[in-house]
Amino acid sequence: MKFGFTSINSKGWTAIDCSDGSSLCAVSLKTAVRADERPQVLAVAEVAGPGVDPDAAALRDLMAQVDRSLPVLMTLARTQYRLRVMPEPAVPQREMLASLRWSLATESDGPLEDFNLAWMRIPTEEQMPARPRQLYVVMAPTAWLTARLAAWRQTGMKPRVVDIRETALRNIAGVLERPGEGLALVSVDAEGVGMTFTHQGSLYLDRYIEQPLAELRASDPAARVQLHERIALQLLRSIDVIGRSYPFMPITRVVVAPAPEALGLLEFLSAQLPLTVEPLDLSRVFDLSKVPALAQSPALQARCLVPLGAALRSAKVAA
Amino acid sequence: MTTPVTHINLLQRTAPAHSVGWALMALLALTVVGSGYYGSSVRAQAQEAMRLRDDVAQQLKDVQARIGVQSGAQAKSTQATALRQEVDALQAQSQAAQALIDAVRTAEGGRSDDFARALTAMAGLKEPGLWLNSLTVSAGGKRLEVQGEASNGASVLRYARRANESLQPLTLRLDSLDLQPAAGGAASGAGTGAVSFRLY
Repeated sequence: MKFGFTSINSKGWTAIDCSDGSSLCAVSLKTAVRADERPQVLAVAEVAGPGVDPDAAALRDLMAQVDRSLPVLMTLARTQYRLRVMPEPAVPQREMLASLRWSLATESDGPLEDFNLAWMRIPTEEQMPARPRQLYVVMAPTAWLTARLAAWRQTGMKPRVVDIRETALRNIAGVLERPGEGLALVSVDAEGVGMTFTHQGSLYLDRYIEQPLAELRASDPAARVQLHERIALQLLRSIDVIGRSYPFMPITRVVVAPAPEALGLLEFLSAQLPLTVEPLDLSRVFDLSKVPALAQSPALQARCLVPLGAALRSAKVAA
Repeated sequence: MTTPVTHINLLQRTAPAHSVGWALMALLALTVVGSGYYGSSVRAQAQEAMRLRDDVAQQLKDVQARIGVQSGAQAKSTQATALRQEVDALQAQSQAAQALIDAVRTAEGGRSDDFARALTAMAGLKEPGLWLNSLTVSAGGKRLEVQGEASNGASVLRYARRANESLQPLTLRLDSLDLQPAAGGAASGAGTGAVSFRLY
């Protein structure tokens, strides 16, 4: 996968993930590597604490364990932003944000001036020129984001980028893609199960099933099987949607990311789906030689999946 | 051909109100910079104008000074011209006097000194009612003859006596007198005793 946009950084990132879970996670990733090398994970850290609103001590503790010389990137918790698909306004790119803001304001009761917006296309113009164009719009409350930035800066952190989880997972799925195929990446975190569908590195579809891991852990085997069936059904429906909406990107593989706990999802999907289901081997995407703890812990890999994917934003890598 | 992947950043400024604010700030900054630049330009132009004004004033002073010098020279030139004209006039008079002297010298055989002395002695005599018509020095300055007219015979006698007194240092003497009633003075001297005379 190649990232065509020029990034504001070419050395690497220290990515901090503020999730909805009970921990903070940070990774330092060196992306300035030779063409035949993988991005190298320099450091990884996880500290306990509220991910959405971490205290200063937890942040300082986290930053003490990673590379502070790299620019900082933050990924927001899923509850702190909204991601939606909209028709692409027929306006010049420089006017896109204003047009989207106006379009969203006409659908909303409240003013949209208080939201930070970002957008990205769902590329279909080459394969389906006649299809109306669509794009993803990300909305984050400005007041909350401003307060968070101020709090982060008080701890010595000055984030240069604020990203979201879907694009972070998209980056990893994009690395795993083979030429011409569509890929489904299934990931499990503390709050649910996500499905990311990509083609040529771009995000085409995203699904998220809210299912707190704590409930699943406490459930009986029958309830766990029900959850697995629910995930499989949603996956098949999504693949069907992809097949009808984007016939140029057939989903032929499903990659299951490491889970915080051994839930048996990979085995269930491999047995039930008429598709190739593979486990995600992070060492194919990243050089983990400097972080053996990460290389040996699927749970830590599951926790660090989003910051690792977010830190790939300036990388030019091919799996 | 693959479509470039878009990376989002929610830190980007997105609110139109902020854009307007930044645009206003940028406009303000540009205005300040432009004003500063324009002000410096105006100051530079003002300084250039002041320098030009001073140069023009200095040139004016120089021109006035040259005009003053030229006026003085012109005045001097005028005076010189007047003097030249005066000299020329005097030269003409001198030449006339010289011509007279030459003529007298020629007539008297080079004895102009005798004539001058006799003339000087006779010129100092003044007798009311008597005027001379001619004065002749001859015989190498040994002989003097004076002709004239007078309102009466007594004046002629007084003049003859005083002339002899003046001529005495020159060893000259007028001892002969022809006296007769004025011929042309009948109209003016008839009945008044006017006479013409010749002393020698």
